Amino acid sequence: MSEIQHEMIKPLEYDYKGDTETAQFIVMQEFGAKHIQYTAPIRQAVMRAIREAQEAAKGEQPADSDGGEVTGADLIGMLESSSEDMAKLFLWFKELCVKSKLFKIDDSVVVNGMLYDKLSADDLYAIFGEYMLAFIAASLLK
Amino acid sequence: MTTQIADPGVSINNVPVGVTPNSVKFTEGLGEQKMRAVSFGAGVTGQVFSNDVETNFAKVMLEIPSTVENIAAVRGWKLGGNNNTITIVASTVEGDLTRIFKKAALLGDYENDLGADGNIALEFTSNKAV
Repeated sequence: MSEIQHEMIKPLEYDYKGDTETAQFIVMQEFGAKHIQYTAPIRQAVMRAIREAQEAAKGEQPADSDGGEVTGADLIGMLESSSEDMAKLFLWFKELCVKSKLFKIDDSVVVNGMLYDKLSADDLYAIFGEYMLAFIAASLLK
Repeated sequence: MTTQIADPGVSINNVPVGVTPNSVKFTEGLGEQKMRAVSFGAGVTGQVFSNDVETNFAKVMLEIPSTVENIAAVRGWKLGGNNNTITIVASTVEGDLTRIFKKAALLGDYENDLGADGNIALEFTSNKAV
């Protein structure tokens, strides 16, 4: 099962072996069939946002492409510019994070509801974008 | 008007714990001190103050219902030795209280009360609260 890693932007403290540690990174593993109910709505939303962007771009002069790769932040920006309900998407992502055991802080402590709520907004946006890019919407962007 | 803290939130090893209301207690772990008198003669006395660091351990006491999940969790905390961290958080209109207890262990052999309203009474001993 493939995985990606996110370096923490803002400190997050968690309990580990009787002490308090500061998280350095989060490891995120690829989801499987049993997590589809959380990822399918997000994938659907990305598909709709792509279609909206393509419709909006019809008839316009194509912008000079800088040839750069799409990033997680680009995906988040595309969704935020669309008619998609970001609050609902974050709720689905939270369900995935806290119920799947696919997300581990410092590759040692599984993210649960309490640890998810401690994430900074910057880290959460980054994690969501990176996870969509790497796994949920990967095939849509090829 | 001041407000009594009566509804603290307790988490152990990053997991919130549902406690029996009004059962949570803690000590700061600041230990006990001794004060002895010294005499300079002619009725003049002073004091010698000392800190008994042998007693510098905090305690956290709470009760949780005897559910299957709780019994398994307590067994895990016991087997984990002193690798537990407890956090108590409480809020009132006047302000917040937070205490963190590191290296907490269940030293005693706790009872699992399997009655209709049975609770598990726990007492953790830890480093002094921060």
